[in-house]
Amino acid sequence: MKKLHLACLFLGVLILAAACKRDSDFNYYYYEPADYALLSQYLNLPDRPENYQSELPNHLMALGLSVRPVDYDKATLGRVLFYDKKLSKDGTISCASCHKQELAFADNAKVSTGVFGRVGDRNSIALGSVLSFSAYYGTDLFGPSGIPFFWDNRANTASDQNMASMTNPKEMDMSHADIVNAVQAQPYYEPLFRMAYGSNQITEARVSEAIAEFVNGIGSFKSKFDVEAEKALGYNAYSYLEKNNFSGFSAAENRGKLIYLENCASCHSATQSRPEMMKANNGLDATTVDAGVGGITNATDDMAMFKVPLLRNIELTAPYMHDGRFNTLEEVVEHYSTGIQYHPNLSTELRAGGAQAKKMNFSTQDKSDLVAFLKTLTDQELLTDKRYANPFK
Amino acid sequence: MRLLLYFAIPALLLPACSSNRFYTPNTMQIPMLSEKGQATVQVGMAKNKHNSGWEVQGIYSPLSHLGLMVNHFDLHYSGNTYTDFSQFFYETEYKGKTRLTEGAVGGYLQTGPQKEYLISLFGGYGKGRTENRYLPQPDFPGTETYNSSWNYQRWFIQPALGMKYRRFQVGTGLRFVWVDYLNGDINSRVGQTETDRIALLEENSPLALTEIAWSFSWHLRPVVISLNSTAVVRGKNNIRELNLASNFVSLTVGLNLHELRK
Repeated sequence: MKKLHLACLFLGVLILAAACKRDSDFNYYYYEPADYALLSQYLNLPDRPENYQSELPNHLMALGLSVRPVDYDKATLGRVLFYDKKLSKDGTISCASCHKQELAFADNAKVSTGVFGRVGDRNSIALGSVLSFSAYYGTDLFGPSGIPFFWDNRANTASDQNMASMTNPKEMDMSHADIVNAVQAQPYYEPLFRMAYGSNQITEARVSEAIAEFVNGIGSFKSKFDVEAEKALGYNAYSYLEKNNFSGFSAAENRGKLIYLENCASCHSATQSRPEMMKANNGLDATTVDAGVGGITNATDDMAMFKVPLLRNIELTAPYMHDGRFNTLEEVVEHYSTGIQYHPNLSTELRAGGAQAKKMNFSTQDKSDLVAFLKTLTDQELLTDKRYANPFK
Repeated sequence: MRLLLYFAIPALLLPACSSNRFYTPNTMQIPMLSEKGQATVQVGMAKNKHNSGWEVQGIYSPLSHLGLMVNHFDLHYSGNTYTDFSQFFYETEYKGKTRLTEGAVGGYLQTGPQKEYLISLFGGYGKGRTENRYLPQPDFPGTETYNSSWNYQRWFIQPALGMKYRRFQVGTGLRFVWVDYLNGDINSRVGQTETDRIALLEENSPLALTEIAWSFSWHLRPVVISLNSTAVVRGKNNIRELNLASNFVSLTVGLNLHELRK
């Protein structure tokens, strides 16, 4: 009997002990401690990669658009490379020098200044619009090469684009070997390459792919326009844009929206998803000053034609046009109102008929309303999104 | 006797678990003690496509109706699971090992018209460690071998019933276990999917599981050869997706030390 009591006591203690809830202490780590210690000497990176995947709002998904998955490790590496001035000949210029986050990854200079004070040829294009859906979904109307890069459309991918900028004598002026050597010289790249590629082998192709991964992950879809388009989304993805006022817009913004849809959307996109055409002449000059796309293709029809940019964050990306000739949105609107010049390649949308340039003749109210609408395309979150911020200490 | 067989044979026919990196039950030792001074040591092995393990188990009765039990379990396993790399889902191969050492105390009673039934109730405690390696995925050059490992402790209470019939022994029992995950190091690069599974494990610790066991033995004095099956039959609903309901089959060879002395 005594043994039975003892056994019961033992089992009771066992049950009590087992029933006690103890907090487990699992340590979830991403980087090996030594790697993270090394990275932390130079970089402000979180202990695991940021989620670089941009999520499309429903009003864009309703158009059949989607984004490709982003590799977080490559995007992390690309982000460091993007901000690293050591990737330039004189160590003063990085990609971010001309694509500033606080300016929606554009530059506020007419044309940007590269290494050794060399002045570039054209205005820096905002990167907030680089997440170019068609570039990854080659079956759309733009064909397999998608939306090209640069004002003259000379690069088909973000990788081609960034490599061309790094090797451009007026920008970063690096050779492929220079790029590899500059990256190899920095200790923080060894773990980053290993995480991204499984080996620390550094090649210019990997450098450019990683930068592209980061840049392609930059998404800007939290503007007032997006919020309102989301609210107004119906089963017909386009109808909400064309017929209805947005409830959260001011009267001026809604009027501006209509003006935009009637006069601008046929090139720049009604849905702010992708340009309706890849290149156009918008009547800046009557003669060819800058050959633009024609300088690449040598085709007469392409002379003075330039990339048609998306207008997301346009409020922040002054000065405007490929040569940065306009300092304000009002100047841009005035150009389309009264200043379009006839050029043999002038876009048909901007012609009054035959060899005549169109005069849109906006009223003062129209101009003000249109600018008010364009400012609804600003995504303030993009400007401070820590995922895209300079990681260097 | 026949009734026991009808229940037991299907259990043995269940496939051995295809490897379980979160928890695998060891062979439940079903005491066949009937009097003071009896002692048995048995070694076991389990081997199939995904598992390779061995066990050492011992039981001793220092006093009548009182038994002491020790178990050691060492299992290597492999398998495939789906996880993700960044956001790319893929099937990855893993290899792992787990070991557990435990001790138990309990009582036993011999009963039945011919004293052929052996009823026992044991409770015990043990500690173990699990180490998993997730191998690089060839389609994703960025992947390397990633590790997850943790220490755990386990409490258990097991009521069991044994029956001796000439040279044949049959045993069955339930084991109520609480698996308490203490601490671990998890490389998050095993993928968010797998990390979430491990976090679920941690969140639900201690896992309260019910296991059922069968043992069929051939007694060739002093040797006992047994075929054993131990399966997790019940756990919390929210951990079912961890696939803990596995069946572990082993073959053990035991030596009844008290029969050597006779």
